[in-house]
Amino acid sequence: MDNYLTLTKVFFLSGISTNRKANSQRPVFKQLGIMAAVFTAISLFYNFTMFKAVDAAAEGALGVYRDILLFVLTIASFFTVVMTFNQMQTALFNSKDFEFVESLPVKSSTVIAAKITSVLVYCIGEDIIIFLPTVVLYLVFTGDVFVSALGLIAMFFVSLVPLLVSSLLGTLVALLTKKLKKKNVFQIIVYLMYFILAFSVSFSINGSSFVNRAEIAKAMPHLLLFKNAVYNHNVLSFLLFIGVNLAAFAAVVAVISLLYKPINSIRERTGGGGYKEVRSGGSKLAMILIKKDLKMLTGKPNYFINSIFGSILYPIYSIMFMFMNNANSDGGKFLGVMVLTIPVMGIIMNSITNSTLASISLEGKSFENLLSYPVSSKEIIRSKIRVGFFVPSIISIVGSSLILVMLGVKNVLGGLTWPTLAAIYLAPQFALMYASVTGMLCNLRWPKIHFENEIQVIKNSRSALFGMLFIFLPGMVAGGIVFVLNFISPLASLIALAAVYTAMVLTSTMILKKHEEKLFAAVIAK
Amino acid sequence: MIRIDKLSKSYDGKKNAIENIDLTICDGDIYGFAGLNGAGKSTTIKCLVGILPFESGEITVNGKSIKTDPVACKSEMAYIADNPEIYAYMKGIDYIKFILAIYKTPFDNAKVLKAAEKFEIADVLNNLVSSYSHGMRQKLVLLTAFLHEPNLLVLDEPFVGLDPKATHMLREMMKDYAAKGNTIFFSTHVLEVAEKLCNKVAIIKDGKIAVNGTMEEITSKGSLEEFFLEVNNG
Repeated sequence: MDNYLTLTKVFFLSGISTNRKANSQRPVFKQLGIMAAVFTAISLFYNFTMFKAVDAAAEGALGVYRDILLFVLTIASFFTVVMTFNQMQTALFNSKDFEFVESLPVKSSTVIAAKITSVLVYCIGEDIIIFLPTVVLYLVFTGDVFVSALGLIAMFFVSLVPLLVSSLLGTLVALLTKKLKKKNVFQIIVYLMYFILAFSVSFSINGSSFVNRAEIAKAMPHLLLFKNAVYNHNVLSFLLFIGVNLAAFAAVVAVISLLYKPINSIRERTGGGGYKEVRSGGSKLAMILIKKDLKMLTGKPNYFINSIFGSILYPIYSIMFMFMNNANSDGGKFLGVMVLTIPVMGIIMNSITNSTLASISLEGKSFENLLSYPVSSKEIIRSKIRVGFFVPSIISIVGSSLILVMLGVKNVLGGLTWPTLAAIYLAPQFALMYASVTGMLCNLRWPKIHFENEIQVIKNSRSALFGMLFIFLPGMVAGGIVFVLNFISPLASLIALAAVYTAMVLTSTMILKKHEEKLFAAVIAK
Repeated sequence: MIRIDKLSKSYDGKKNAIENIDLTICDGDIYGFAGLNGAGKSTTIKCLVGILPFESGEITVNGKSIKTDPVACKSEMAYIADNPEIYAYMKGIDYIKFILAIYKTPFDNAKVLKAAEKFEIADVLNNLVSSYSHGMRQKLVLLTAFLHEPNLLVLDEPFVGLDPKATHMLREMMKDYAAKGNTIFFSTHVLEVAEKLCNKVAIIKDGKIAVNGTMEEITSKGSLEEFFLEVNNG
């Protein structure tokens, strides 16, 4: 047990820390705490609007509030399953610390349990941000102490089963790809198929869950016991919910322990993005750097998937909405609103996973090599921004084109108009530009050159978290204004978002131009 | 005592990286392990310390099998890799505390400080490991290994990255440590050091033990380096 706790602490801290100065005594959690507070405030705001909306609709019966409770947990669980698939695969099977940890007098099962728990702790943090406001508001609106208490305890368990599913899937992928030469390509294909499948399922469930409350939690079967406990004040169900979670944890740890060492000890390590070409002329340098950064992006499945994750949702949702029945009683108005909402979602999702958030950090040990080449810091930075923009940009154009087809074919909201066209194509592109530049700024400000696995950089580093906040915030603020003012024209909100992001692109570019050399020098100093 | 019997390991299921390795390392031995790059030194060491699973053969540490009782075996040894992996977020002192906790050894501040002063890293123990040079990391890992006092020390290229003073000090520490009845098994390319330090040596070639014996026997007709070149050129 001691070893389990010690290792969990080490894996967790190793995951969230960033490189500090050699003799820095600053607490690691200070900035993370500030950011968690900001996200909690945003979550509180959206939860409050949801509770008020129910209240305003005079549906303030206890059952409706419980539905919200379940709905938020279901969504949180779903995102844990989707977002931690590659995270667990990397933490278990692509960590640089494998040999070191294996040389210690600790059982493999303890290591597995500690690795899963360290990610769980991180997920609990996310769940607290998402779910704590829901529980607090539930208590305020209903005064139901019993269910609120269950909700508080459930926060510590609700991500466990999704994480175990991710761990098993990650193990399966590692097992299938362990001897493949093109395992990166295979992993990327598997991840994409998984995301598409998961979001297809979520789409079909989301579409019905608020309409038909019986559907809530069906997407995440492990919540059904919790649902029974909440709806029927059944303590036994709640204890069973916790028991099932813990039993599943033990079973999955036992299964993965059998495969952990054989898989890890034969895998080939994939290197970073070192140069394979030499500079042959000034005009080709930009392309050489872009090729190198593209190779780094596609050579690391986790990095690639994370970077295009948001972008890929845009065309996926576009296709799904294309098959939506527009023969609603409102004459297709709902569909029209949804169609124009997709680019808004695309903007936000595109932005928060931009590759520039991690591109400097992921150079890792090859960063020193990079510095020894005859290229300037500006050229290095620009190359990474270009890749961070162009890759999701192409996917985004596909998504926008699908929306365009939908507008034309289905003649929703009066068909195509020039403002609609411009907004659909340009708003996501401006958002991506802003995300690429801001991502680079964050990565330069909070680099993490030393890491045990890529996920620590891509998902858990301060660069990734702060970047997400800074990139997400303009969209959230604009969206919030639209929501609060009950501004129901989605086209207008899209144009407003494009305007917000255009201003943000200009601002962030000016900041980067002013500080890039100083920030780059600081990265070298670290 | 460590016994390695008929140890074979394959990475791809076809070709053996090491084959039928037989070695016996007695208490008090300082056992050198030499070979060309890719000969199988690191593979053998990683099997010995329980990092790599192996297809056939057996390794026992004081009668306990690394296959069936890995935790007990590892509790008796310390392994120091050629490029020590230390969590970058840790300070030197954090790393020492972490390893001592894993090996269930009480943290003794005075003892730690004394060892750190001996290795000349006492003034950087509160700095992040990411700021350490390779040699400083090596020193940190070495001093930590000595702190939890294992019976067996397994080192992969321990002298790489150490300055001459630290190399000398490590050699002396290894001698003192073995003189107390402990065992040291290490791989090296620095044959002059191995010749002065080891009482036994094995040379591995193409995954098989080409020669093993006492240093006296092997260097009876010339230096270890000459013998090594003869084995690998022949």
